[in-house]
This record gives sequence, structure tokens and C-alpha cells, in this order.
Amino acid sequence: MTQDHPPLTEGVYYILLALFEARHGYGIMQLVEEMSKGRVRLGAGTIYGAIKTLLEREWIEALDGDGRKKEYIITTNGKKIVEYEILRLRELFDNGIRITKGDG
Amino acid sequence: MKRRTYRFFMDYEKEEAWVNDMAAQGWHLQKTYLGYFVFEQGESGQYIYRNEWINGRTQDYFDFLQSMNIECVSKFAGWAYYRKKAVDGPFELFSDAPSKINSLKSMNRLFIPLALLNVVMGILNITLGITGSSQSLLNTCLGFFNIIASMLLWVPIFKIVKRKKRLEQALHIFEG
Repeated sequence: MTQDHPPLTEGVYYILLALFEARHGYGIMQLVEEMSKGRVRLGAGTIYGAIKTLLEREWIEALDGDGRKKEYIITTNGKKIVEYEILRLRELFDNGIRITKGDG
Repeated sequence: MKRRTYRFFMDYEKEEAWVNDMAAQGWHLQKTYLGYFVFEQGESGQYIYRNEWINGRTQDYFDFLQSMNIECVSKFAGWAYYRKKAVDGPFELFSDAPSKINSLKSMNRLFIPLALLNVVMGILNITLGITGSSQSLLNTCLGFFNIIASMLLWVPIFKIVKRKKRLEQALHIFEG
């Protein structure tokens, strides 16, 4: 998992999670802000760049619709990537807790 | 009521900060062409403004921004100004280091060759103007113009390089 699946950026991780249901750009931004309780505010330019890259990698796909507010949804590939990332985050989390426990 | 001003900035970030200062005082940017700014009076602090170097950006990008409630108020000579209602919360185009670095790179990709071209043309024109068989005042003037243009470009170029370096250093320890 180390070589094939490098860590995702926080933004990409949250964008992929947001796209487990079909959403347009604005919907992604709102949900991510909500999930992170206002901590992660993704810039529109950053979301645009991420969507382009994720489409190229086929981790997400665009749904047919009227051009202006295009909706996107995660693909099976994308879901696999998220699963790997969750395993990685769990490893980080478990090791962190195990080693610092009791030290406050 | 409208207000028209000429003002020249060497640093696009300072220009953006000034445009936001004006907005805080109730003067909202409507148009800008190379140092010429048109503001319209409105409610103080109604909008937050951002500028961006948009060379290579497609209509698809501007449509996307529009769908994010970002209004493009002015596009001229590779630069765009956007605004968003301040009640919607903070407004930044780029929220992580990699996308900020990309944006900075796209500026210097054009600015550096342009500055170098002006240096070469400047030297060529001045040499021609002074030593050419038919000493040409036009060549000398053009040459000085080239040199001034290149100097005006080196200032933002070095600022951009510095900003990019700072972001890249942070990437060694932070995710973005």
C-alpha cells in the first residue's frame, strides 16, 4: 500500500468523501466545510483543479446534465482509493494513540 | 456614484489589498485596465475581491467559478478580478500550497521569457540606435522602453519566486 497509494491531500480526501453522493462544486465546498466544522474551507480554484485531476484518473466521473452546474460522483476506483486512505489514517491514528497514551 | 482612479502597482498582491481596502470603504471595483480603476459606491464591506493571473484558463473554469457564486468583474491583459459577497464567509481561490504554487508558476512561465526578451531587444535596439550606420533615435527610444519594461517585470518575478519558495519549503513538513 505504500508505493501504489501515496497519501491523499486533505482536500482530495474530503472531495472524494463528498462525492459518495452526486454533488456539484458548491455542494462539495459546503459539505466539506460542514464535515470539518468550518476548519477546511476549499478554494474554488483548488476544487476545480482537483476535479480535473480526479476525472483524468477516473476516480470520479461527471454526470450528464446542463453544463452550468455539472455534478460529479465517485467511481469504484475512487472508492478503493478512499478505503486505502482510511486504512492508512487508521494506522497513523492507532500508532499515535498507542505511543502518546498517558502523556496527555 | 462612480470613482475613477489611476494607480500603478508593481505587486499584484498589494493591488488586491488596495482594492479590498476600497471595498471596505464602500467603493466596489467594476473595471480595471492596466492601472485604471473604476469603482462604484455601495455598501461598505459588501464584497471580498481576489485577482488572478488567468493565462490559459478556459471558459469552463469561469463557468465553474460562477457556479460557486463568484462573480468575475473584470478581465484584462491576462488578469481577472473576482468578487464574492462577504456574508458568504471568507473567500480564497486557492486553499492549499500545491494549487497556490501552480498559480505562481503559471505567472512566471510567461513573465520570465517576456522579461528576457525585453532585455535582449533593449540591448539590440540601443546598440542599433547608437552605433548603427544610420543612427536611429527611434531604436534608442525603443531600446530604453524595452529596458524599462523588463525592469518592471523583474520586480514581480522575484516576488513570485520568493513566494513559491516559501510554499515549497512548507510542503516538506505540511501536507498543504
